[in-house]
Order: sequence, then structure tokens, then C-alpha cells
Amino acid sequence: MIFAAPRFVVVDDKPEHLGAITQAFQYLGSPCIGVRYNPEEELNPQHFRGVRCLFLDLHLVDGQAGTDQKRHYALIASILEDNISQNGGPFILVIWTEHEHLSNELRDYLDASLDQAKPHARPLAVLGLAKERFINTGDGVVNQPEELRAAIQNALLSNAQLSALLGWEADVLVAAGDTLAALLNLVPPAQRTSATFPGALDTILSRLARESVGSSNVDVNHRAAVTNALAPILADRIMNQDVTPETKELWQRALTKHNTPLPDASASEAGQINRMLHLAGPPGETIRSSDWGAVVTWPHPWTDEELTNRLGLTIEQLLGGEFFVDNADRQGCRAVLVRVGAVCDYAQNRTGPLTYLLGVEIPKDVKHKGKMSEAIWKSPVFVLPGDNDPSRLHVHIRFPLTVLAGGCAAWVPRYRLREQLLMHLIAATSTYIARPGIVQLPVK
Amino acid sequence: MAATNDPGNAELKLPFRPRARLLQLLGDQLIGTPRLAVFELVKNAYDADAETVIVTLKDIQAPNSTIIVEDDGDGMTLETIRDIWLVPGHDHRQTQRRALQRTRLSRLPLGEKGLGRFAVHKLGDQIELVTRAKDNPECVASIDWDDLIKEPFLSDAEVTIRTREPEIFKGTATGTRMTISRLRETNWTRGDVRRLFRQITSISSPFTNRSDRFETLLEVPEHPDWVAGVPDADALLERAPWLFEFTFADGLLTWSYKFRSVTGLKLAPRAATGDKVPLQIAPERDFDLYGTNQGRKTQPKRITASEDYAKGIGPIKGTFFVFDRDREILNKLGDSQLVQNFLDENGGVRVYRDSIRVYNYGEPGDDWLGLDLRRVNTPTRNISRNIIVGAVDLSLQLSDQLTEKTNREGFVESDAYHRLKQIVLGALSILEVERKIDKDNIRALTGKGEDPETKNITQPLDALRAAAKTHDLSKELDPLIDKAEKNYNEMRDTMLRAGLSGMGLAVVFHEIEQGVRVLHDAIEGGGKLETIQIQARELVRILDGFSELLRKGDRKPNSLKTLIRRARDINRVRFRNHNVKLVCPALEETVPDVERQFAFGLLLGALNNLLDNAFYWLQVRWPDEKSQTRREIYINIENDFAEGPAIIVADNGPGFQDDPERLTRPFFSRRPDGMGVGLYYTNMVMELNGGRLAFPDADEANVPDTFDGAALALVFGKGASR
Repeated sequence: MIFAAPRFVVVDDKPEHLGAITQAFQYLGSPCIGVRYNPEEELNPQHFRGVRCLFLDLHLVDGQAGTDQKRHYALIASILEDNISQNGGPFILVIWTEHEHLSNELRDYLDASLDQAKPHARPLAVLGLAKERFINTGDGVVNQPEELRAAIQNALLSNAQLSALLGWEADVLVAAGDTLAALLNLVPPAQRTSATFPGALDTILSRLARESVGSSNVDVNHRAAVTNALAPILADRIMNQDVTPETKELWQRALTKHNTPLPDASASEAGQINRMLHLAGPPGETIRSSDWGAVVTWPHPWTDEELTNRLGLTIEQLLGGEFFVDNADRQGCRAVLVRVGAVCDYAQNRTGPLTYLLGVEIPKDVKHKGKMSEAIWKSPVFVLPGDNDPSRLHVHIRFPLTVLAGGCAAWVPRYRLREQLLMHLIAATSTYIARPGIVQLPVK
Repeated sequence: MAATNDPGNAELKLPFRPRARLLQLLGDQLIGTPRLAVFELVKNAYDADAETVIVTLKDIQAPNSTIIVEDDGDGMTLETIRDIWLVPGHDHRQTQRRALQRTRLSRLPLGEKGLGRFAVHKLGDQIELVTRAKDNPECVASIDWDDLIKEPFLSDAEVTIRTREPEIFKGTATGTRMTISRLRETNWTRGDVRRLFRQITSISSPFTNRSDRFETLLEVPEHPDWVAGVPDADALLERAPWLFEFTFADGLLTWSYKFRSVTGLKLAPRAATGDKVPLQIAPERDFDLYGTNQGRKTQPKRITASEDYAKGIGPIKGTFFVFDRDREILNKLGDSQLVQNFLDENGGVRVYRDSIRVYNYGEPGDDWLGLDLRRVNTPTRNISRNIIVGAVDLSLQLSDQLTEKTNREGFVESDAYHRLKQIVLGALSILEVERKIDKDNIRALTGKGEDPETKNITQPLDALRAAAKTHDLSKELDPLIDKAEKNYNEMRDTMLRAGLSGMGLAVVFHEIEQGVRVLHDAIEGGGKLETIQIQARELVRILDGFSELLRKGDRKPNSLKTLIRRARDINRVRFRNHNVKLVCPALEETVPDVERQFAFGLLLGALNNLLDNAFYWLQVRWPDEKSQTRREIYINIENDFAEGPAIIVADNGPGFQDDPERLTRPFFSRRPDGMGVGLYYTNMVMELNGGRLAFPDADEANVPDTFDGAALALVFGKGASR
């Protein structure tokens, strides 16, 4: 998708108000999409997929005075439930109203009424701005674009954490722009004609892709190949961006607890954070079962016979004897395979079978009835996809399986270990395999 | 006292040594006003099982004037004087009260803190106490406060008590007489005396019957005429056109309403009752009338009072007499000045416990229910303090979560007190709705046939602008006044252009006019700016949306099924939250669609109004619906109406109790906080779209039997169907 998701979205049933507000954003040099609310039709969720600041008219269907505003709140709640994307990220809701207390009422209503199963539909903050202050509600002429921007900015700044993150997101976009600009600078001016520009760019991208993953690997994923080359530059640009004193100050306000003793995160909280840090997965990231670090569901029948054929032991011997999990606790355990291997083999797409290690996802609260072998690597605590309670991935280094590249195509990937954690596992594997044994006679 | 010689390491046990003036402080600082001081003495008489208390103002206006409070109660023995009366803060009454130990006359003591008698100091400096208990000699104590508090310490302040053969309480008589002289206030005017009279006689509830007798009298020997002329409250209350009585017990309300008609008006009396019905409670707002954050984060789920809502309050009884201050009605009541003065002095709602007054509720200046400061979104319905004389009666024994403040000026602000207010306001709102029905009828009779089409709102608004200017509020209020004027004029133009009936307009005009008056009074009365601003915004809000009728009026062919589907979808969250089941045969795929010309947005709003009402009233009938829901709404399309197809909306709520004409009148609502514009708008929207709002029988609309509540029909005209 080359069309970026809009960050500012305004929904109003009155075209003149919509026009006025989008126009006000234009004055400020910021893109803002105006969505005309037509009560006959549903809204298009595409418009809301990256929204950070959503302006909603409080009275979308009828402006009639009533005993209370609940019908309007309920409509807003259903709009949020239906349109806010699960991967859209945080947003704040700005309601056009001159009555400050209505935005508080709405916030409470949303807190109480939004579908529990759709936490992403909950705004980080609900603010009220008086439309009348900025535009002429009669004819839609913008009175105070600067004041409107200041009001929006103040509204955002009132939540330091959110504004820091929104600022960060904008900075990342700037860094991405810078990276692209640097890329384009590689095209000599003489070749920047409409006839030669595309070809010159193609040459540069092809070279970068080939050097970054090896020519045989480029065909696996062209985009990934280029990204592999650009990502470090992008990361570096993000890290070393020149930030204004205001931004520094904002971050100082946003992060205040790092020097104070914080209560330990609960297992569930830690599980969520660890998952974000170490696991990649749909819908944000796609995975193939052959990807380096991919964790796939055990692809064969889970029977004693199958296990004995492939790994030389029964289920009881594996779960009871190796992982020390009681019969009663085995219900919550899940067998998986973890794709490992040397990074350069993966990068250069070397021929030969792919190596997977046997893993078991075991709920965190399961007590192991004995000491597990040093050949078993334990992950941090995760709340795994589809689970409510935290678990740990246990990987048994002594139980590898290999498969030819085409053989794993139908396997079902669950998630992928990000590089840092995968390297930890691989290091543990090689340390274990490479540990020397010595011959000695025991002395009492 | 233990002491050691080591000054650096001493341990001393020392008693408090209060100054004698502590007694003065107790009386002076603890009790708010002289009249509360008299009240405290009367309460002591009540606790002593007196049947009559006589307060006498003697030699009034002379330097040697005295106040005498004499009762025929049990009196005190020497031992009681010594062990209790002279012991400030003695808790024997509180102990009795907590143990629910009743007196001989079955009274629960009112005293709690053992300080009431010190209130006399608020009245004068010299006290003579004469008291006699059964089969005991008479005891006499004389206290000179000035002498007493000259003593450095309370322990040195002594009171001489003499016993004697009875001189005052002769024979078998018992009782207590307190004579207060060297009065603080010597210049008693006729007005002061009449006010005191009113207060003394209101100590005991006039509205309730009690098994024992407790009477308080005021006598002014030098000016019997001062007291004699005070109008008889009972006679005046008899003239009140409206009487409302209620009892709230076990979570249910029983009420009776009477419009007793007005002499000279050709209007029949009317009565209405409710027996053990749910009490609707106006939802709590996060922000109170003043826009102050109440810190209430959660809205109560229930809109009716539950059984435990009166926990710690006990059963509540109320009697309200309501007058009318419109000149034409006042004149018909006779002695209009007398009635007005009576209302100025007595208007408000008092609170009694075991029929004994709890101050300051219902006193001039107290508006504990916030009657005058309620939102002005229904100005013609709300009953203000100056037309109501009411009493709320509680049981002392069962209202244990209502504690009185130490200064005796009402209850401590607590959750129970808050609930008490909500219950009384909930009951009051029934009175208000019923009264509005009769008020409207009166208006129809006495109205001068004003033509709303020519009547200009500018005049009352200009008066409002002038008042705002005088009070330096123009900057804040003028934009709102302008908006109100614009809204009204837009609405008038819309209605006239669309050829809609002028009746609605006349009612709206009246509503605005009343709202302007309330606002005007608030400004002139020096109300808080924020309050006035909120009231002004409410006034503007009354007419919000009319201009939209004008704007969104483009009619085009639309599908009724789409309309219903959208109404369902945008209310999805409400169906879920309120646990309401929707039965909607119209949306089944096999049902053919119907197309009509209408403005989609307006009709969706109209349908929304009907759903809004249904959601509310379903909660009234079925307050507790958790997993298994009985709350149901039915929506269907019926083609059997003579004019054309209709969307039927029915529910299994409590149903309507008013006729269609009243239901579609603006500003009529039986919701406690309802503005009463929903059905009015809906009706207008249907008329603007060539249809009408109908209230068919369930049979007529083919509504299934289970939907035994309200049934409405949005009837579309013949229109062009395809």
C-alpha cells in the first residue's frame, strides 16, 4: 500500500464543517482526512486504520435536544468498535462540543460500554473542543486556524506519554524520508530524467539487494532484501535524529518512573511486554514456516508411535522424563518446532536440510517435578498468541529434526523469535553442543 | 501527680483544666442561631415526655424582658440535675437512642450530644431553672453566666441548687421551667415574634398524626395581637390547589395526587394515584447544577430505586402542598397577599424525624433539594421553592445513617443523605408531571389567546440582556441569549413555512418565556455566574436541533428496511449494554422491502427517539436483568394502515398512561429528568415527511402479545412506492 494511513481523521455530517476543519489542517501543513458521515451507510474502516487523532461530531445523526446524550455516545461507541483497527495503534478522540463535561461523560460511557473484546477501540483520551470557537458553524468559515492548531496541540500535550509516542512515530516517518532521500542521492543528476530515472533506481536497489542477502536469496523476497540493507540506516537515523529541546523535555515528562522503584510486572504484564519485544507474528508481520526463528505447530500426529519413530521416545518419556511435567498439567502444554541454523546459511540460502529443534510451550504455573537437563533452553515468560495466561517456550537442544526446504511448506507457523532471542537460543545450543567432556575418576 | 526530680526525664499525668468560659463557648459557638437555641430547649422537653411546651416572651421591648420555656414533662430530680444536667456531654440520651429505648410516651430521644441546654446562653445571660419530678420536691437553680465564666476554671464554677416545696409545679404537676433574662436581643419587633412563632409551631409536624400529643405554643402577654393575627397555616394550606402525598417503603412508591381545582375556574378536580410502583431516580450527573465535578465516576446502572436504596433512611413519607403564583390563580385563591407572604415565609420542604423538625430544611434561605437551581430544561414543569410547602417525615429509629450536624443545621453530607434527596426528588417529579397536566389545562382556560406567530421573543430576551448588563454579565451571557433568539426564530419560521400547527409553537414559546424568567430571576438574585451560564445553555438547548429539521429536510426515495437496519446498527451498543432483545421480522431476508419518500437522517433520528424511550422504560419495568433478559423491543413494517406503510416499534415496558395528544406535546415527559421533546420531534418529523406518528392498539399493529408495553407507528403517507 503506497497510500499512508491518515493520522488525523474528522467525521462530521455537515459538509461545511468538515470542509472547514480539513481546511484548517491544510493551513497548518498537516494532512487530515474528512469523512462525511452519511447515516444511510456504514463508515469505511480503511479511513481509520492509522488514526491518531479522531475528531467526531457529537451529534452525527440528529442534533435534536434530548434528555441525555446516550444515543450519541452509543453511536460513537459503535463507530469505534467497527472502525478502529486492531493494529492501528493508540488514538485520542476529540469531540466537538462546547460542553466540557460531555466529553467526560462520553469517556465514562466508553469506559463502561465498549466491547471488552475490542480493547483497541478504546481511546487513550477523550477531549472536547468547542467547534464554535474555531469555525463559523453557520457557513463553515474557519476563524482561527492557528488557535485550532494550538488547541489540538495542547490537547495532545496534556498526555505526555501519548504525545511523545506520536512524536516518535512522526520522527520515524521523517527518518524514513531521509533514508529515501539518501537513496535517491545515489542517482547521478544526469540520470534523473523521466526516461532514465526508473532504470537508475532499479540498478541501485538491485545492487543493494544482492549485497545484502546474496544474489540467490533476492528472489525469495525482493522487498526484504532491500529492507535488509536500508533497515540499519533507518535505525541509525532514528537513533541519532536531531531532536528539539521541546521534544527532549516532552520525553522527560513522559518517562518519569525509571529511577523510582517500580512494582514488579505481573507474569501476565511481563508476558505481554516480552511478547512484543521478542515475538513476531501476524497480523503485523508475516511468517513462513521456513523463516529463521519460526516456531511452528508440531506438524505430525502427536502419538507415541510417531514420536518414537522420529525422536526415539514416547510422549510419557518426553514430557514426564525430560520436561518433568505431570500428567495433569500436560493438557496446557503444546509441542512445537523451532527453526534454527547458522545465520549465514540462512542469509545465503545454502542448500541442505533445514534444522528444527523440538520445543514445548508450558504454562508458567506448571511445576516441574524434577530438574530439567541443561539441554533444555527456557524462554522468558510470554502471553502466547491465543492464550490468556503466560507460558514459557522450552526448547530441547538434543532433539533436532531436519527437513528439506519444500517439506515444511505446509507447516503452520505460530510466531517467530526475533533475532535477539533467537541468537540467545542458538548460542545456548552451540555452547551445549561444544562443551567438552573430560575423563576423570571420581574420588570420594 | 507523679513527678521525678530529673527535669529531663519527667513523666506527668495532668488533667485537662477547661476554662469556665468553655460552657459559654459550647452554647454560643455550637448552636447556629437563637431560634435553634429555643428549638434545643423544646427538644429537651420532648425527650422529657412533655405534651405541651409554652414559650413565653414577657415584658417584650422592655429592658427586663424574659423568655420562659415551660413544659409539663417528667421534670428532674436533684440527682438528675447533679448527675446529668450538670454534666456537659452526658451520653444518656444517646445511649437510650442507640438501644432503641423508648420513653414512657414511646418517644425515641432526640438528644445525642448532651449539649442542648447550653444553647440558652445564645438567648440571655441569666437563667433560672425550676423543675420537679414526680414525688420529688421542686429544684431551683439560678445561673448567672457572667459570674460563672469569670471563674478561671470550670472546676471552680459552681451552681447553687435549692430544693423547696413546689411553688410552680404544685400538686402532682411535674415539668421544667427555664426562665432566661438579661436577653441578648431585647428589641423584639412584631416581625421577629411572628417568625419565632412560625418556627416554634413548626417544630412538630403538622402533617402527620402521632399517637402521643406534643404541642408547642408561643405567648406574648403584652402583645397578644402579634401572635393572634398570624395566619392559620392549616387554613392556608387548605387553599393550595395541589396536594401530593407519598410513601416510599421497601423500594416501592405509593403516591396520591390531587388537583383540588381553583374556585372560579371551570376545571374539574383531578386525582391520580400509584400503588407500590417503582420509583424513578434521575440519573446522577458527574457534574452538579453548578458544573462542579461531583467526583462520581460511574453512573448508576439502575434508573429506579432498589429495595436497599433507602438503607439507613427507613421509610419516607411526604406531604406537599403546591400553590400557583400566576396572578390569575392567586387572585382566585383570595387574600393573595397573605398567601404570597405565607409562601415567602414557609415555602420549601421541611424534614421531620418522628414528627420533630430537623433544621434548617425548609427554612427561608435553605434549598436542600436544589429546587430553584435545577436545570432549566423544563422550566414550566419544575416546582420552585416559593410555591411548595412540604414535609418529609422519617423514622428516627430507622434513619440511623442520617446523622445531624453538631451545629444542628441539617444532616451530615453522606451517601444516605444523598439518597434521601434523590428519593424525594424522584417522588416530587411525579407531582411535577401530574401538576403540569393541570397547569396546561389552566393555561388553556386562562390564556389570552395569544398568537404565537406574531408574538416576539425579543421582548423578554431584551429584558434578560438588560439584567445581564446591570450585573456585568453581558460578555458571558449575550452570545447565549443571541443563540436562543436565533434558535427560536428559526424554529418559528420552520414551523410556519411547513404549515405545522401553531399549538406546539405556543407551548414552546411559553416554555422559553418561562426559562427566560427563571434565568432573569437567577441573574437578579445574584446567582453564581457558572450556574447562570449553565441555565442559559440549557435554555439554548431546548431549541437545539430545530434548525436541523430545516436543513435535513431533503426527501428522496429510501428503503424502510435500510432505515430499520441502520437504526439497529447504530443502537447496537445500547441493545448490548441494556441487555435488550430485538425482535425484528422486517429485516428477515424473505420480507419484501418498502420504499417511501423521506429524509433519511430525520427519520433515523425519529426512530432513534422511539428506541431511546424504549431503552429507558424497559429498565423501569425490568430493573434487574442480568443474564436472562425479559427486555424486548419489536420493530416491524406493517402495510395495513390506511394512509400507507408504517414502521411499528413496540416494547414490553410499562406502556403509556397518557393520551396521544399529551404524549406529543412538547416538554411533557414522565422521566424525572426528561425534557419531553422526543415524541414531539418525532411527530413533527413525520408530519414534515407527509406522515404521522400514531399510537395504535397492539392488535391494530399486529404486535405479538408478549409486547404488552408501548406501541407506536411511524405511518408514512401513500407516497410513491416502487
